[in-house]
Amino acid sequence: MTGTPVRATLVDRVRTNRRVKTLVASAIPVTWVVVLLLVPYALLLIQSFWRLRNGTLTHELTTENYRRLFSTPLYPATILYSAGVALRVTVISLVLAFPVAYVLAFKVRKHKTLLYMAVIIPLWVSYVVRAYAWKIILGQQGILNGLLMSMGIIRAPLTVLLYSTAAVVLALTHIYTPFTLMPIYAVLDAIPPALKEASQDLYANRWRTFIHVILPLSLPGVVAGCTFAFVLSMGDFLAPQLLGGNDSALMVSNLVWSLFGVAYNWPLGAAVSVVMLALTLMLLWVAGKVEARGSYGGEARSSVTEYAAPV
Amino acid sequence: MSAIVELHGLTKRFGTFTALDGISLAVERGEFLTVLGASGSGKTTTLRLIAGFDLATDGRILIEGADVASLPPFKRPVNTVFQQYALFPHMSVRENVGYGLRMQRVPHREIGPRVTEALEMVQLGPFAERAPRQLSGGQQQRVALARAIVNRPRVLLLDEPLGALDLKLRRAMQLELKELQSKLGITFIYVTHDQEEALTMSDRVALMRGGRIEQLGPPRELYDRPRSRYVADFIGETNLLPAVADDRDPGVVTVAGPAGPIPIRAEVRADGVRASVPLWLSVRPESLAVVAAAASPASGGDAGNSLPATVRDIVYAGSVVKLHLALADGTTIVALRSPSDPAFASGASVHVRWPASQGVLVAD
Amino acid sequence: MPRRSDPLTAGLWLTATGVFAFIYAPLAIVILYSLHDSSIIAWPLKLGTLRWYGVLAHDTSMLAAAWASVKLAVLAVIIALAVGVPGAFVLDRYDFPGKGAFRRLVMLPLILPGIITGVALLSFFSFVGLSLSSGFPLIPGWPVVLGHGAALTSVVMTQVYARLQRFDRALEEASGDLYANEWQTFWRVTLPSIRPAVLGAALLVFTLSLDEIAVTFFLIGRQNTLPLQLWGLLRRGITPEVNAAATVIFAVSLLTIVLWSRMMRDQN
Repeated sequence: MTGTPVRATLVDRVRTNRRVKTLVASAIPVTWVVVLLLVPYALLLIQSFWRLRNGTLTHELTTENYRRLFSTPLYPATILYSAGVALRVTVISLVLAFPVAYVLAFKVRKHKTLLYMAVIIPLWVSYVVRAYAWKIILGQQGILNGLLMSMGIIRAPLTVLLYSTAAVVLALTHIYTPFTLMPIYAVLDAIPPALKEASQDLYANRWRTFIHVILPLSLPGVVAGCTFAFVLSMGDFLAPQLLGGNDSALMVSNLVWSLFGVAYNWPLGAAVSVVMLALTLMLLWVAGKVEARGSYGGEARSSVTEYAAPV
Repeated sequence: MSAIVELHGLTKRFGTFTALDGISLAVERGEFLTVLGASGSGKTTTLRLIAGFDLATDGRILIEGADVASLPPFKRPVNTVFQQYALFPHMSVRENVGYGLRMQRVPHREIGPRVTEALEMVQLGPFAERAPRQLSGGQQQRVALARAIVNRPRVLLLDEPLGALDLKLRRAMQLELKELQSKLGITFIYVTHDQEEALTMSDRVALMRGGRIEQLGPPRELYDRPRSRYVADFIGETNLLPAVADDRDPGVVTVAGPAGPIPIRAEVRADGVRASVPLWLSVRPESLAVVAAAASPASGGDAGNSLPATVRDIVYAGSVVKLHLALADGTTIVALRSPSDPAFASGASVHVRWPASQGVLVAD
Repeated sequence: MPRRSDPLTAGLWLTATGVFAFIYAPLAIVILYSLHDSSIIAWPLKLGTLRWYGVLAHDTSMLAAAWASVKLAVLAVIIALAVGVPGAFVLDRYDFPGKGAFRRLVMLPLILPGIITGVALLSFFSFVGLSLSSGFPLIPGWPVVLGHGAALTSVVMTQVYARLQRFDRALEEASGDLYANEWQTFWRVTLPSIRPAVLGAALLVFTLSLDEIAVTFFLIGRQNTLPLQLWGLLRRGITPEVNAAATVIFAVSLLTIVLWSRMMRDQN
């Protein structure tokens, strides 16, 4: 190496040219994302403006899909209903998740990671299995009814358990509570113990320490967890289909499902999807703002702020 | 002056590990006491027990005569300045400083002026509305200080508050803290591992080791009259010469020389010095005089001690020149000279001299 | 902080345990009922038979579906890694116009309801003219493979990106100082360092692909994947064989996630 004169080759010059390097390195991922994500979503948007003529898809532009969407009661009603279900799921799962996150973050010494994993694992275990489990529990000949009857609490099986909004809310809460828990735990765990000690050193008892220090600092996690729980349960289609009954508990995704399936109206389905997409993006944006305002330049940044951040 | 904080037989065990081994200490009202020690010596544990963040395994803690062992931190009249400041990130500087006052339900109109006053005291008046993350380390540290003193606690506990600052800033803050303490008259219990810091700031120093207090006293006393080898070694720089007691003359010990043991007069002895234990003679570098071997007789002359040595290294350190010398048995010692004194060459033969009153005989 | 037992803490623990039970009870019921000695799923539970597993083992369409799912998952992992890892590097190290939009675009499949991504891809493939059954005989079909890849690349990108942010560039600089070129540095220094994150992400993609329904439903050709097969069974009527299948799926997912958490722990 030593003694030989050093000369820059063409390859070296390409190496040090940052712009060329960027181009080469990002070619594959960017192309992939553009072709398989940007284009399909864009196509969905465009498709929502196409006309369906006599059951055939044409490329004529029209706004009739959106007009139909907003004027037919079914569609706005379903969207509102889905939001209502999602809201209930979000609130209940927050109430359930927060204590568990708190206990895990502050009250567990040994096996903290193990217990955390134990709470998270159901998230990754088959979604179908978890939704289906409720079907066999809540059915008329189901396990819960059988149990209650054998204990003498009820005489005849309850029919309201299954095929109702309550069943859908229950199943969705069951599925998404761990999801809500994750960011809350992450944020709580990141709070330095010294902050709790400092608060107590400054004459705040444990309850007041919670209200004035822990709770405000947990907000980014709470916002993130609630946002994701809301968005995902609003867009869920399996739980309503398995547990909701034929018509009474249809949610937005079931509509899209049938529009792209048996009802065969792709443009309308695309329009509904676009509305869903817009609602979701708006929600994320709002959540990002709420979080940013509440943290006073604090450090915890959840995925929502990551998503809404300028870069 | 009465004791404001008293520790009696305070013990703390974590499982099988004993962090504090029955220490007893009386902190005088209005004094600046430093608890000094290496990591693991128990100094931070002591502080945390006084503050209430941990519960003692045994022993008593009295604050102003009242036993506080069963009281949680929010019921003790002490405040803490944390090592990492522990400022609340979601509150402004003003809200941070006013937190303790709000929790004590001080009337609202009183809080504002008191917070402003505390911020002025630490020279952070204009920063009241900033968020902690917008401040530098030194500024955050001062907010932590203001947040504690605004409550006018009887005792202020400081847990290595200057550890994260660079040297110049640390020196400046040391002076500021000392001035503040004198002005406010609050008792400071200050924890640090930096012995220089302890010497500069304190009225008294408690040097801790292995969960026990090795020596407690004014800084001067620890420096001039160390009670053990550990103290002599920990505080300041010193030379430790292995010494053997002379049975015939209690004021004399022998130190190894090129041609057999050399008698050395040692007038100051620490406790625990006996003929039967290993002994060291502790002589501070600034007490040593170095002369060329050729220019003087071998003995010390005026009741002083003298040892032959060879110059190994000459290190220029700005205000002094440090001479690293090797004794006959290979022990290295350090002596100080002024840069304006005639220089010695490496390898030169010299005599080191010091008065008998300047060496302290210590045991482990 | 001294720990005191008091009603508040006791209440917290009680609630936490209750929620824990709530999360696991339905799963436990499914597993228990896979051993239920009756073809009707009802109370009371009669433990004591493995016959449903036997039925499962002989259910050829279920096995074919399982096999298709595995193939699909493996392909999805390959694609997701091939695109996601370079993508993560691009996000971490380079700036380009539209980077913000690119980042948000990549995260969309993770945040949007799967059905939207599914119909978007369906529209795309239909527009482009790629038949749902196209592909080699062994491969489930290009649209569904590409669809899984598209949806799950984001998982790899976000996980590896997070790891890269914590990676100490000084290591790469040291490697360069010691005469290694970029490729050698990547292969010998960077990659081993981020390997746990990459493997972890791969495992995650594998599990998610196995369980994927929304995108799969719209893009699948003739051959069902396992979750779709299960779902079909569910709509027709429930036999305890479904419980056995569900338990097996649960066990496999559990194993995968345990492996994943080991990997994450190694990384720390």
